[in-house]
Amino acid sequence: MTPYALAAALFTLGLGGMVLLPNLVRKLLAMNVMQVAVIVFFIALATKDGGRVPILEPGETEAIAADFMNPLPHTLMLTAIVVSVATTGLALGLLIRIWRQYGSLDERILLSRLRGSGDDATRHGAGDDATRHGAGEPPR
Amino acid sequence: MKARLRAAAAALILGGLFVGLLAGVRDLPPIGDPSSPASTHVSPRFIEEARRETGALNMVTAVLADYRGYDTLGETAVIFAAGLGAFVILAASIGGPRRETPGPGLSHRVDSLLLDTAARVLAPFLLLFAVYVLVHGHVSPGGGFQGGVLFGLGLVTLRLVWGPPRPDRAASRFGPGVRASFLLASAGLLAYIAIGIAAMAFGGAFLDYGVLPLGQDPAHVRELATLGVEAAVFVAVSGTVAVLFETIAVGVAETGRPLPNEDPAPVEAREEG
Amino acid sequence: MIEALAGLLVALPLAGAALMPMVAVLRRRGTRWLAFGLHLLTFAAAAAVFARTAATGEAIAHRMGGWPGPFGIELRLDGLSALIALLVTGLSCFVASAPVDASRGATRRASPVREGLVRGALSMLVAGLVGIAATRDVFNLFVFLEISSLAVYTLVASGGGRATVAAFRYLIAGTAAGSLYLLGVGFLYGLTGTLNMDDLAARLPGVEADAALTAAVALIAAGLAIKAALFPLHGWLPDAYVFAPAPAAGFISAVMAKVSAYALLRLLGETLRGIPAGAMALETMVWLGTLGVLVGGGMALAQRDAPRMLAWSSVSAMGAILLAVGIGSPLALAGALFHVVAHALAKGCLFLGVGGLAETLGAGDRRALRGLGRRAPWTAAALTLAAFSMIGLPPTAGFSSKLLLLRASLAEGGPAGVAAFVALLASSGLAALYFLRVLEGIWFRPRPEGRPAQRLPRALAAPVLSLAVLVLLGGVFSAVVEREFVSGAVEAVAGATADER
Repeated sequence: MTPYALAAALFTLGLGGMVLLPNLVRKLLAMNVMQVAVIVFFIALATKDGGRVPILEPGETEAIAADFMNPLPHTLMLTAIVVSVATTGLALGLLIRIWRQYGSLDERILLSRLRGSGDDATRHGAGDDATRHGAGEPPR
Repeated sequence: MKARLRAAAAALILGGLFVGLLAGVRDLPPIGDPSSPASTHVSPRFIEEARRETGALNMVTAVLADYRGYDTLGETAVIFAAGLGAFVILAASIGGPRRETPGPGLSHRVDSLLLDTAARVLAPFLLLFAVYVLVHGHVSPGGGFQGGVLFGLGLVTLRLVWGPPRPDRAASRFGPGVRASFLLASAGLLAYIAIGIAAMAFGGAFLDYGVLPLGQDPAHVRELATLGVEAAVFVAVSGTVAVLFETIAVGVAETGRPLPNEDPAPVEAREEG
Repeated sequence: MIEALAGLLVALPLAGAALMPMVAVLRRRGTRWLAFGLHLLTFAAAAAVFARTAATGEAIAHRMGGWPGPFGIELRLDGLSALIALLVTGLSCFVASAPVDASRGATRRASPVREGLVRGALSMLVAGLVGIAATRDVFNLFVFLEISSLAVYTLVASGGGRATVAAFRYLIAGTAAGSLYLLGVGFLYGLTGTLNMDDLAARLPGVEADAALTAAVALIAAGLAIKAALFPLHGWLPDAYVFAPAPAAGFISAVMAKVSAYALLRLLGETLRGIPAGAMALETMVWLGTLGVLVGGGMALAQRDAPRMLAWSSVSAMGAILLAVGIGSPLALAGALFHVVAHALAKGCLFLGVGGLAETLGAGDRRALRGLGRRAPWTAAALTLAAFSMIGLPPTAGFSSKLLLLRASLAEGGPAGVAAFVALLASSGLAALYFLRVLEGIWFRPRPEGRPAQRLPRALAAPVLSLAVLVLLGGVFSAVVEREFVSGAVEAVAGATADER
């Protein structure tokens, strides 16, 4: 029960951080917390009382299911970790570009600069309605 | 007022999520229960037959590279996609023109006897250990990903201390090092797919290693092919780690020079930190 | 033989994703035709697989690694999966040879190396989307979801500038979606011990753990609904579609959210259908879809910027598709799938055309399109046809699909059915308002002073015209489309559930 509760708490914290924190780097860290929560959950699923690490000794040929931890969730989480690493790497690349162009990673500052930035002029020409872009979006 | 409303709504939703998750996990079989569905359905085959069917002592390796080898191909694709993405986002010109003034930070060599000596001592062990982790994945914790990350980090360690591979071209924004790493990454992914298609050419399903003409004992053949795909993963991952490091490092170091599709005029007001 | 093709359906574009960046970095050119050839080859494979499933009515399976059922990963293309694969690979051919982000004007033409890299990302996206459509394993579906996600973030971000911010927001929303989905899969695994969809469907009815099942369904539905841009989880969509470069925007807007809608249909409508929480999730989806139809239409009407208007109309269309998936009757599913096809063709055409024009003109304001009818009548006619399809006017594909959706919601009855019916009608009215406003400018207003002449880059003109022709053909031969393409797909899902009942 406890690891499951821990996973639930981490997951909620991570999701909350992603939605509520204004700094994009913190959003990214919160995202990692959320992914770790999923990993904790799966690894808790894999445990088996009286089971050992799912690796045979070199001489061993026969194995009984009850003696070993469940290897499948471990495998799945290896994949999930790689996905998490890959997403984080790409996100860092994006953050560097955002920082280089707008000089800030704070969502509130970014929003004000996006509305006033010259990028709209290169892409959308009409400067007069630059402020209207995104005006109707729901707040995030 | 609006912000408070938002915070209240968020608290409500998140609280609901937490309570819902707690209620959900209470219903799951207790942790460690040997008679739970997860322990009795599907997974026993991996534990009891992996040795005979795939030749691997490490059941996680058997599932990863053989039973669910297709997932692992996808995983390799994901990591390559990240390297590709970082490359698209941050690389302006690969092996581009020389820059007039040396850049700050990571684009040149650090002159420190301490760092230099430490790197010389550490790096060979790091790189060798990475290969050990790769080839030992069959019998102990390890495999292509773990080894690949270690190898990539070994390269990054050297790169951090020694600077770019060709100091005379330190100014070029993405020198031969990152190009080679990127090619390595794509070659790794291609090799994995090639092994899968080779199995089809010999009459099996995609990634069905057993049909490959590598010997008599199918388990032994599968073991060899597993090592092959693990090696492909190793190459792809170590290449991508180096690419990610290099693009991000140079992206930071060269702040101020325009990137593709970037506005030529950088924003004046920058925050501190 | 045909099974081998099914196995290659993902492997081919994946190989392309690795090969094209490699060629680009080594040789610097040649990726354009390589990309076109590879996408065409993949499309041919998908077409062969589709033709076989349509002829025999049986699914084509490929067991990865030769491992059976729940132990290994199985790809299986039934009528539904094959239709989605056909749509994705077919549309990818249209954008494969377009200059990836060169449409921002001749002065900022991308280097060939960069083009090759972006083409690699497009190929990766196709591999991911086809993989989602083909796999029978819920965890493998997660892996493909992430492959397609990373590729799509790259494509959006390749627009530079504000696109980078849009891509980051998309990444955060997409990863939250992926994690929600994966946690839901974890619950299912804990309850049943399997990841295979068929095995899950067989074992789930025997599970007695209502709270955990509800949590699993809610997590999976929420995760996929974010990806499918179901109201109110659509926040990532408008910026991502608006700031992506035109060819990428054309492809993404045509298929991205719809493949997630497919995953929702596959999991909620088939695998999880046997449990009460699954039915509840579908019911909720009808209501949220109905709201999405209205909100998306209203927001589209409020936009002055043409691409942004199109993006909001996508939110509306996704609402229509998802509400039909929620209703779940064979008629509704036929409507949903027909709408998937019709909307993909029309929206792809519009985003390629308007996006391409906006980028060459440097302006997305819809007034910039004024006078297009005189200047480029063919392009204008193509956009007009696509707009008619969006509104639901005959003789376009959009008319036939809207009609099916309306009939399905009437047949469903009850408050949800009536609400859906009214919302669908209203959305056509709203679409008429916001599209006719643009069309009036295109055909009857003079070109504004001081604006450069509008002209679509040639590489974009061909896809725009051919997509418009397809939109028209889909409407004129709607009976054929329904019989040959949609009905097999509906049977694949609804047939299974009909047996159950």
